[in-house]
Amino acid sequence: MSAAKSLSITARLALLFAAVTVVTFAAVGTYLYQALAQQLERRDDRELIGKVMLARHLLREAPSIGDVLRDPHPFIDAVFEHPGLILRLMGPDGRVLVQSTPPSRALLPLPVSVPAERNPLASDIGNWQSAAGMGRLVTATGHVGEGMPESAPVTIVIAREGSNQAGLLQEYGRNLFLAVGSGALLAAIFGFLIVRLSMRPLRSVIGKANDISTLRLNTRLTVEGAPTELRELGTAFNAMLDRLEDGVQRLSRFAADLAHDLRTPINTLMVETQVALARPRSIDEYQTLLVSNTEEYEQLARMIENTLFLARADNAQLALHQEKLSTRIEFDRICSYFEGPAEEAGVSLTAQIEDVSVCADPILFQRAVSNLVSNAISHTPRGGTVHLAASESPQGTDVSVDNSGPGIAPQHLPHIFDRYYRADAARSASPQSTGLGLAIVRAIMQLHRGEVDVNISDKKHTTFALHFRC
Amino acid sequence: MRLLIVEDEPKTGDYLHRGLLESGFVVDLARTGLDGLALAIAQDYDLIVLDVMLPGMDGWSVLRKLRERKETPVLFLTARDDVADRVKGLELGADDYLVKPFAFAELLARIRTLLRRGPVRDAELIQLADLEIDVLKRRVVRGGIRIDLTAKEFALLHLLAKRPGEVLSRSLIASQVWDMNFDSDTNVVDVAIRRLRLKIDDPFLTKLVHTVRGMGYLMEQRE
Repeated sequence: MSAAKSLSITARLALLFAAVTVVTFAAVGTYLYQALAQQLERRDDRELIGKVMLARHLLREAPSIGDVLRDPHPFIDAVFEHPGLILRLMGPDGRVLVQSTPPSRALLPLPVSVPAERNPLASDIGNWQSAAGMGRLVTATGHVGEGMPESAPVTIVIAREGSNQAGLLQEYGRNLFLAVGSGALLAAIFGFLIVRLSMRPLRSVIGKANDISTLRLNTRLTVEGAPTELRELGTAFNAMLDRLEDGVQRLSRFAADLAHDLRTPINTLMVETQVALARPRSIDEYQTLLVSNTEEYEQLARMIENTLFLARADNAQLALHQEKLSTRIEFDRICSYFEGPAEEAGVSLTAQIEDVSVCADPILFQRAVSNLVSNAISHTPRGGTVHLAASESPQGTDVSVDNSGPGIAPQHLPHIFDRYYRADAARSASPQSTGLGLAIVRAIMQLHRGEVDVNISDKKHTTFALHFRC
Repeated sequence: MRLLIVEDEPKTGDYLHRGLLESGFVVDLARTGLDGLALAIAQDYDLIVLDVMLPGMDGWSVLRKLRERKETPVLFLTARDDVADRVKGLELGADDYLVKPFAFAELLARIRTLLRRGPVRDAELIQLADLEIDVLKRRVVRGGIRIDLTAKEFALLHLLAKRPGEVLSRSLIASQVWDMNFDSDTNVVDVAIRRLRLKIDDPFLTKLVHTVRGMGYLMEQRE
């Protein structure tokens, strides 16, 4: 099994070619062999019938049985030039009148004699067992001296020894066998060469593929001029390379962004601590420093946690525990959670009262909506509103977080879901933000096979909508 | 209460040792898995804090060997929070786990919870200085004055008051009060504490809710 699996396509196709050729040649050969055998038999049978007719004619011309006995040569001559043909004439009493070469074995069984009134047909011919194999045999009645006073019926027996056409057929069969064998061999060789030739473009694909590494992902296969099947493969291969290149670029950008974002808090920690250590300070100052450091540490820990979360979401390593959730209960929980911060920011936080069910992982749902609400509250000016809503449609459930406010500048829109992207440079100083909130929202929606989008209306309302399927 | 810490990283070991000592525990520290296992078997500890990545004999093996002899509660510390890793620890008989980096307050809270394990019944009436909380009737009285709290404010107060003197981290509070189970980067807990203080501390001379900078909040009567 494994040996068959590991055979190259070239060898496999060559073998298949050979097998197909053998089968086809053998079928055709068998047919030809049968046809030839049948044709030979028909020709021989016609000859037997012809000899019967000739014997009848000769009998008619002989005046009496006595004349036949006296001069049997015309009869003998009739079969003389035909090796294997036997003629026997028998009188009405069963006595043998004329006998050419004696048969190798007894002419048995004798078929029913064809009456003198009709000509013998192929169906009148029977088989007999000669020493050289199956022979053919026919008997017919003829009349000596037709219309003469001594006219008498004579039984004509014409037989053929089995040997001569069997030999012919055997030789034919041998030739056929040789032809089939060498034909198959030739087909295998040509097949191998042809397949090898057609596989050449594939080998160039392999060469290119070997050439590709994460450092040289921009290599592409040339699809023009390739055979159709390989063109499809090449196109698919190139599309895969596009995706890989995109992924690798995103990954390296992500790593760079992460390193960059780690620099800031670590720099703060380093400089702050070094400055503090430069000279003796009061206990109060030390405490302040440590508290400030702790804040930075917590920020770092959160960044690591969020980054890991995103990495796992990307690899779909997070197990999703989807449940039917009630938006009213979830919204209530989230609103009560953000009640304090909203009030302090002078923002009114409301939620739709009508209950809609949504199928989602409870913790991830909380996290996604909380991230949006937290963002909304911090971007809404004093006196503004943040509203949570949900609606059901045949495609699923939409959950939206809407806030009044200045909206998002169009140049930022395509990037707001990117990792570490911060629309507002000044806000990046906010110690609690990791710049990953919306990236996490998007990752959560991708895990749910849903989508997130943002819409900014004329009235400067920003609406983030989460589309959950099911 | 006697604790054993098994941790090879010198700084972490020292600070855990010191932090837990200062929190009122009797603490032994082992630097390798083998030492830790020997100590854990020879002595009777109330709880073992076990690091997974140890030289020589790793935390899993220590835990497996220990479980053949003893049922001492084990809290394991790990820097890898793969689900498989966590499941493995719990299957081997660990009682809880904490992923590095963790807040010290979080570690303290987990240790106290494990030590308290068993049939715990919440008191129906909690008294702290002149503050009285009737848990069943959800009534709060301080210095004879009735204080009206929202449901969440009451839940927050109850959480702090039933564990007096214990520092509660922000994430623990968020999880217990609002059932928000992820580490969010918002200041929700700080705001909620501020509002709670406004009602139960600000009008009175003695303050009961205290901030432990960099760690969280706790409630106690201080002289």
